[in-house]
Amino acid sequence: MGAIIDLNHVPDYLSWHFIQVSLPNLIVVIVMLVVFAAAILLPFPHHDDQEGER
Amino acid sequence: MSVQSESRSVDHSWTGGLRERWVALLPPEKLLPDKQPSYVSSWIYVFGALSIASLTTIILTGTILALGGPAWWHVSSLGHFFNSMHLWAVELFFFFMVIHMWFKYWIAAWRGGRKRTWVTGAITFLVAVPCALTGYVSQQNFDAQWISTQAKDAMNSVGVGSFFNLLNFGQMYSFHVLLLPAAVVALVVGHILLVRRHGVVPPFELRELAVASGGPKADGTNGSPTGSKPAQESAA
Repeated sequence: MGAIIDLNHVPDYLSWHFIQVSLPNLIVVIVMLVVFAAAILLPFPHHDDQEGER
Repeated sequence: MSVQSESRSVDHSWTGGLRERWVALLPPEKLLPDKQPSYVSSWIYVFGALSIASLTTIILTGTILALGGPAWWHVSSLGHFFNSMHLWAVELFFFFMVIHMWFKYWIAAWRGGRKRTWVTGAITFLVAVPCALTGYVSQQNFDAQWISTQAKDAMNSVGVGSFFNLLNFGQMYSFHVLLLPAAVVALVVGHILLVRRHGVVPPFELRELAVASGGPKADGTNGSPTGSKPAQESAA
């Protein structure tokens, strides 16, 4: 079974002044930022009997 | 000898003294709590536990890989499976740990006598990086050769290449399967015990934020108990 994304090639690189990052690494960083924001904003499931402490 | 005198003699032994000290430092109800403050009911507080779950997977799969040796995964589909589990658990470990650290940084998690908790967590991250690096150079393939020669140049440039020799496979493998994992696990255990002892750091109070920014608090007052002396509140 093949991988969903073929990683067996040299990745594309993005350059901006002295900053150089591969596209896969940039995607991971963006996903981390999205997960970080979602973890803060998304509601956490609560039990009805929860008051002050759980 | 009566029961009372036996108990007294235990208290004077080094084991009894050590036990009393440990229990005083970390009572059982703090070590294994069955309640947590309400503010931990947020997804962002899950990432520390996710990091530990990833680390546990890394240790278990790494132990299995160590049984077969560093080249096992090249010749066995089972070895390849556990190598992939090991790799992706490492990816997730750093993914979760960095998000955990982001949050703890922005919430200033060293507040309230939790400096050692923060420092042990930060050092764990720093030790985990060479732990992963030594794993990448232990893959027994061209990728490992490329990484080891590039990293050797980096280590030489900072003057540690003669001791930490990326081209010495035996040394790298020893660091990867014993020395650095032992350090990471020890640091994580210490980190968790400190979290248990001091508790999970609470969020900033709205009043603290309002005073720090010099503005009114969310309920419209200036943040002081009397509603009139914000400067004194800030100094306190």
